[in-house]
Amino acid sequence: MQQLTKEHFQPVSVDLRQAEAIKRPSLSFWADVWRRLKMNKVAMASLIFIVALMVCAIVIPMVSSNDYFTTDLAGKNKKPSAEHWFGTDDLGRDMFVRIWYGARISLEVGLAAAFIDLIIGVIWGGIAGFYGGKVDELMMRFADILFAIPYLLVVILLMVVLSPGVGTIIIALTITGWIGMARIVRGQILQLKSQEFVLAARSLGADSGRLIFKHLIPNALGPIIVTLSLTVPSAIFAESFLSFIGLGVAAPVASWGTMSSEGLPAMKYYPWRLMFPAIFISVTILAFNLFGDGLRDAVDPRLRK
Amino acid sequence: MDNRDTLIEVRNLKKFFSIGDNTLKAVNDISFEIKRGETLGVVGESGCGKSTAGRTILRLYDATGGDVLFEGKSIMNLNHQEMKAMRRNMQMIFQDPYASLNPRMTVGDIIGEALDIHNLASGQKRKERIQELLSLVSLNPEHMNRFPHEFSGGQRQRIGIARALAVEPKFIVCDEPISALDVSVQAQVVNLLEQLQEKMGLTYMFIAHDLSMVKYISDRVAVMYLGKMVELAESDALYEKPLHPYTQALLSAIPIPDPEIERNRERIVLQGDVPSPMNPPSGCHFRTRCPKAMPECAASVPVWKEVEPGHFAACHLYN
Amino acid sequence: MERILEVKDLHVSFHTYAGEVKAVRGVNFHVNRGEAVAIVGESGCGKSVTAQTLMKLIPMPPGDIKKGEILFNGENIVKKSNKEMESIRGKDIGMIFQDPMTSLNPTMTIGNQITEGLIKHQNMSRAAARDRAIELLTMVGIPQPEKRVEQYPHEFSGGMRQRAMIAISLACSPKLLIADEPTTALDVTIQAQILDLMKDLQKKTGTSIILITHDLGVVAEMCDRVIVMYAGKVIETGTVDDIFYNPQHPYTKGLLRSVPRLDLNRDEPLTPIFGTPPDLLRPPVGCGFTARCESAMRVCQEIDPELNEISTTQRAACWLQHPLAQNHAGS
Repeated sequence: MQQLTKEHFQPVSVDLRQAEAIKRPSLSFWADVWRRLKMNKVAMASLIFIVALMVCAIVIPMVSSNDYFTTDLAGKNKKPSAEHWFGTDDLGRDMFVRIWYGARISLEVGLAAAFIDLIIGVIWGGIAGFYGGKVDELMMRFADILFAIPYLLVVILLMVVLSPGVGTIIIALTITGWIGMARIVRGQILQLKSQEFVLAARSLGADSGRLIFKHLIPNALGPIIVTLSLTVPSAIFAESFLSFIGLGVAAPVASWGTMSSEGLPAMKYYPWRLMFPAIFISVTILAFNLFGDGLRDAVDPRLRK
Repeated sequence: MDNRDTLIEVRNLKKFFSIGDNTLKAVNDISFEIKRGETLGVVGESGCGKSTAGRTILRLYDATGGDVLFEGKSIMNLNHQEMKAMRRNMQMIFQDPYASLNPRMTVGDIIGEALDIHNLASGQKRKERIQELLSLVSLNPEHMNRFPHEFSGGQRQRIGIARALAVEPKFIVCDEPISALDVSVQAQVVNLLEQLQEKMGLTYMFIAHDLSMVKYISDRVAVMYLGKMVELAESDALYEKPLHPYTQALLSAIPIPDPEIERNRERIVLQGDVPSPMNPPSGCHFRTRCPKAMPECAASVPVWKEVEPGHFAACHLYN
Repeated sequence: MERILEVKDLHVSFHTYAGEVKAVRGVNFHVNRGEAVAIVGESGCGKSVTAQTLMKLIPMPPGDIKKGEILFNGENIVKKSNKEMESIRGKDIGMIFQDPMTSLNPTMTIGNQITEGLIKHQNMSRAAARDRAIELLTMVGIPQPEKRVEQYPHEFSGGMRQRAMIAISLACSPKLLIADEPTTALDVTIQAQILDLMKDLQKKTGTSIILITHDLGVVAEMCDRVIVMYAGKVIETGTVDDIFYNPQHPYTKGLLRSVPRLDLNRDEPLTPIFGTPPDLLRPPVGCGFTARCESAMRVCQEIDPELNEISTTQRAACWLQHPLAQNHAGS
């Protein structure tokens, strides 16, 4: 204990401004989400996998000496080797390149379906939630009716009417896919629009556009992005499934679903023909789901515990 | 005070909400005026309709009936453009310092929003004006790029005040601006509101349930119970000589921070709960809890009358 | 007087991403049998954390009792396991929370919520417990208790819910009742009813009460002694008369000056305490109040003052009490 002297008891002038100083570092909402996400090792590993998958899907078919459609009947059903990393299929096509072409299709379908769901869902749900009352009632009942139609029936009908292909699959997936997003957005908007900050903006004279785009959507963005990140894997799975049962992309285009379908009969003798596409489907969907879960925890940490 | 002109006049204002098959008469036929530069306190317990009254006066809710006049001009029939211009005159400060600021916007953008909506300033001018407003409410202008969650409750409430002041309003509805704050911070906000009133000639409608604070800040005080106004008087007159039995009970219920006084105090403790505003008692709404209820109270609604000069009450005791 | 509760050098921290928030930093106090003690202070001063720690109700992690003892009837609560705490909570120590809506279980009848503790702690039969529940509801002034006992919380009004909450917390006749802002969510006329009820019940049952509040009026009405907390520490303690008529710490004085009083003339200006409390993520070296204190001295910035005896009942932690500071004390 140090000796106290008279000096110690001299008054000091206190700067009251100092008492107001904020000592913690500034952190915006999204910076905070990123910080929490970074701490989640599983989600980060998934994110790295997804990014790597995208880069490979773009680059590998471009630089590879093989392509997805050239057949080589002499070298069919080859085991994985230095020349053909994942082996060849029953027409002697290089499986490695076909897998990455398939990745392109899977990602294309997944991202496009999620994007269209986002646009329609946010607009539909946003309008229903914002205006409420009769408008809300009418719009959401319409969505309910659409949702009640069996999904596979819609797909089969569409395939009959339109030509099979990536575009048709995307249409088939989004025709009912946006409803989930619309419901999420509507719920968020309904909850947010009675908050005092929205009332404050109204009392300042803000119009509907400003209320929706400056106040409501930015605050609903967390759940929207989480829903979006979970739409991608379900779309990828749906595409693989449809291609597997023969309702998807047409030959010679490679898709993980069609490759699995072709590999199935030969499973006993040439297991790699089924194994590689199946592994890619599973791991990709798993990675997207784990990432989506991590994102949800990062956006709304209260949900965990 | 009487030589000051009337800024706000509320005539027979009604706001009903329909909930299922029932009607909630949140504000049921209230009339009063607020003079320029005055602070009118409005007190009452939760569910009495005081906040709804404030919001309906600002047309944040559409009134079911009655009229509100600003400088003698009705605001109820203004079209969208006219109402937007009118909003520059009338502003609001909210109760919840957490819910009333958009968590995704910086403090600068929250205050600057008013400037954007009414095209009051842009670019460097906008920044200067925001910093000026922050200084006005004793906040550090350097904090304009921070987010609301980084501030304390009292600081957030001052941000809300700066936002309301950005359009240079004449009239501000303060909707329980201090009830969510700590006692030591409440005085900061109340003193700030008083300084601003002096500096800018503001008129306040101060809604609160804390009668001690309302007495301190208000020139006149109105008491509401279940959608009705039961008493209105000069602040000192109301506290010295409350006429309505409800006002008497309300004043008596407040604990005073003085142990000696508390030990020797006889308080009127009202029995029972506030009835549901969905289905209020007939006649005088207060009669079910009133220690002085008479048969007449159930039969007819008491009239709102000037019992003493400037002292209004609605009670059968004064008929 | 018999001490029912004694808290010694309690330190509680919360581990957050930004670091360790030292919410309670060395708190000492005691509660005597049959006494009503108020803990007052601003939000974030550690009063609620202290109260929850007494029941070991703080979530761990992120909460962490770093140091200290809580002696209840001579036994150290800090050392007790969760299992042992379960037999203390509700039986020996009751708790009333601020929000009666969220602290009652919405899917259980009020009667079942009262009898739950009786059956568990006192091995009562179902029928006997139900009779006791009706008795308790009558005691807390709920009309038609036979009917109310079968109802759910949503069928009760706010005031009635708080009465029911009190009935639940009193069911096993606890020796200590911790009331965390029990009337803050209620209207003044209902607050008056609840305070009346609590005073009345204390007289009848002789329970000790710890009342956590920020309303000095409620303190003056209800309590015998006051503990003033600031920035995770006790800065002043004394009888209600000591605190209200002879406050020693500048913060206590400031608190009393910043509230308007219904019985005084409104021309007297309010004197707010400027600034905000320190961020307990980085608590200041010296006295936590220095940055907001008008009488701050050099020593205040360097060394944290200890609680000094003012009288047999009153103690304050402020350098102004030091003999060398007497010259400035008046200013």
